[in-house]
Amino acid sequence: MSFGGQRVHVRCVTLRPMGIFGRLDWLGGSHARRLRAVVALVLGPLALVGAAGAADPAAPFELGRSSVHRQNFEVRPTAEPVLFTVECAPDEQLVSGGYIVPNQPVSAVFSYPSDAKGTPARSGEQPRAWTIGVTNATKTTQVIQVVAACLAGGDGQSSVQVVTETHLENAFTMSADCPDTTARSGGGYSWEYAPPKLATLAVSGSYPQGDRRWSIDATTVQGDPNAKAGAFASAYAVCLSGVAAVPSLPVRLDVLSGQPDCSTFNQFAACLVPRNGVQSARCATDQVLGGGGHHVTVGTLPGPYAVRAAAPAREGGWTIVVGGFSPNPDPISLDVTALCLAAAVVTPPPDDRAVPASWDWPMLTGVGLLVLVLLLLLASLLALRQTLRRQRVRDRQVQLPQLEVVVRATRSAYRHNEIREVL
Amino acid sequence: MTTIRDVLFGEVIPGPAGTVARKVEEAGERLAKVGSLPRQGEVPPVVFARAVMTKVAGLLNVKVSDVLVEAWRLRSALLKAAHETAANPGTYKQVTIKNYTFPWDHELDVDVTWNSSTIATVTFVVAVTVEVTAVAAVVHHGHLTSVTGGEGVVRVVLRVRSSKTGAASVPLAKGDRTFDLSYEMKLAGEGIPLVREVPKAQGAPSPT
Repeated sequence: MSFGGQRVHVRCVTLRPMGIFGRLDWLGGSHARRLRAVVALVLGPLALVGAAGAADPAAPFELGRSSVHRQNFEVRPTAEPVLFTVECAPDEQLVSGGYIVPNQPVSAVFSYPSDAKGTPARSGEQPRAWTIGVTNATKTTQVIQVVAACLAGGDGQSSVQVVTETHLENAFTMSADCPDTTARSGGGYSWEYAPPKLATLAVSGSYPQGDRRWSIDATTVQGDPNAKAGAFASAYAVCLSGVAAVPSLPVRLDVLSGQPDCSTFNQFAACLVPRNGVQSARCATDQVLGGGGHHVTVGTLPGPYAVRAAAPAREGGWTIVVGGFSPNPDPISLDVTALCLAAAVVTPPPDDRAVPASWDWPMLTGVGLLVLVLLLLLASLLALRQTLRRQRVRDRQVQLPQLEVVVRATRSAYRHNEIREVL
Repeated sequence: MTTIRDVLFGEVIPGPAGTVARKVEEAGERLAKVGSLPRQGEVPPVVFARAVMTKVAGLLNVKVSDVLVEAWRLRSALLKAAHETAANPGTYKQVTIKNYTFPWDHELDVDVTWNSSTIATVTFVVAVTVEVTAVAAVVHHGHLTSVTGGEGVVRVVLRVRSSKTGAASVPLAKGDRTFDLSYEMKLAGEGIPLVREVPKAQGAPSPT
């Protein structure tokens, strides 16, 4: 069945009523066998009812609750990206992550799922943390925040799909797709920092696409004009099993323009228009926020790392903050999308032993009555059998040779005086 | 060989089929009417009576000739001749008996038990009278060695006596039959000894 464009699967709970037989052994031979037979007679139809309940298409899946871990880090001045990582709790599943950085020139250049040490997750691996790479072009220490969005107490399990490509063009889009049996809950990006051998990249868009795809839009950052290096970039999709991740309707973020700064102290000796914008995409109340993305639809971001925040907001929703300077006040718009996790179910494994836990109560009642009738019939048969057995015993007793004739003594005698003889 | 049972109830082989059983059953019915056998639950007295009569009939399979010979051993000319021939080995005595009559009484005390408990004790009295006539016999060395002629008549009455009847006895069956004595007496070998201890004959082979 489908669920908001996502495939929804059915989960099974194993019910093994026959396990009770192991506890009847103390009864011993014939009693245990008889009781087993009775239990089988009673539970057998119930198991059949459970099997009939398989027609019920879905059973609730434990989605879990959102658990967002935030941690602030101090970033010293650095031109080379420094990695900062925030972990999920051991029993939690990472679904996405993000960051909040101050205004330029502090830049978040990477944002990706990783292990606890910041090593990018490889395809098929279970991510444990979210890592961002930050540069600080200022001369002072800045504070940034890394956010890991996790699910606690759920039945799903997250994994990562990574696509790594080498691009020579100045602008490109690349994607990673989740497997069919999973739902995409978030995504990220990273690239190999090795100037001037490799180009420096700026990711302007990181967003969900289609049912299971996570795409990034990247451009090379102008550096050494003589260098024509390519970029070695990776797109990450965080995939979660057993859930339906539904993209919210895109929320438009129109980047506002401030008063142009045309002072002579401007390092570019030109007017710069300050641009700012913030927007949040929210999920329905019965949904859990997983991750989110942004995609530039109009214009160009006001700077290569103008997205200052891309993270779950404390107030709820996936929030994008844009800040920077443009040479002109031309319109800039982004689509902000939240990925909302819905309660879902999983596909039943092909397990013959499994019996759904969903009960068809009318049928259960009917079969219960049937079991009752069977029990009464069984009791009647047992009583009749007992009666017949007693009758046979009684008949056998009547037929037994209990009459006995015993000769106690015999005597014989001739009456001598009555013997007559004539010669 | 004629037996007491044959006289009372008939012979099994030469008689009509079922005759003996019928007569035994009739005797049983008479026994039931005496009242000596009580009813036990749903079992009537006649059931016990039939069983008792069947048992008693089996015990009356006594040859008439054996009864007769035993009587001769008690008192008869044959007994005297036997002693004489035994005392004088090699001698023969021929004895002619015109008539020989004797009575013989035989009693059986019977307990009837039902479920291992005795419900009745009865006594069956068999009164036998035997009369033989015109018997020619030869006695040698204490043995009856030859019987010629002789016609016999045996009369038998079966009665029952119990606590119900007191000292009196109630007849259940009776019968009489004639018999050919030479047929009844089988005198193979040395014949039938008439004395208890017979001296060993001279020249006779000693037992090994």
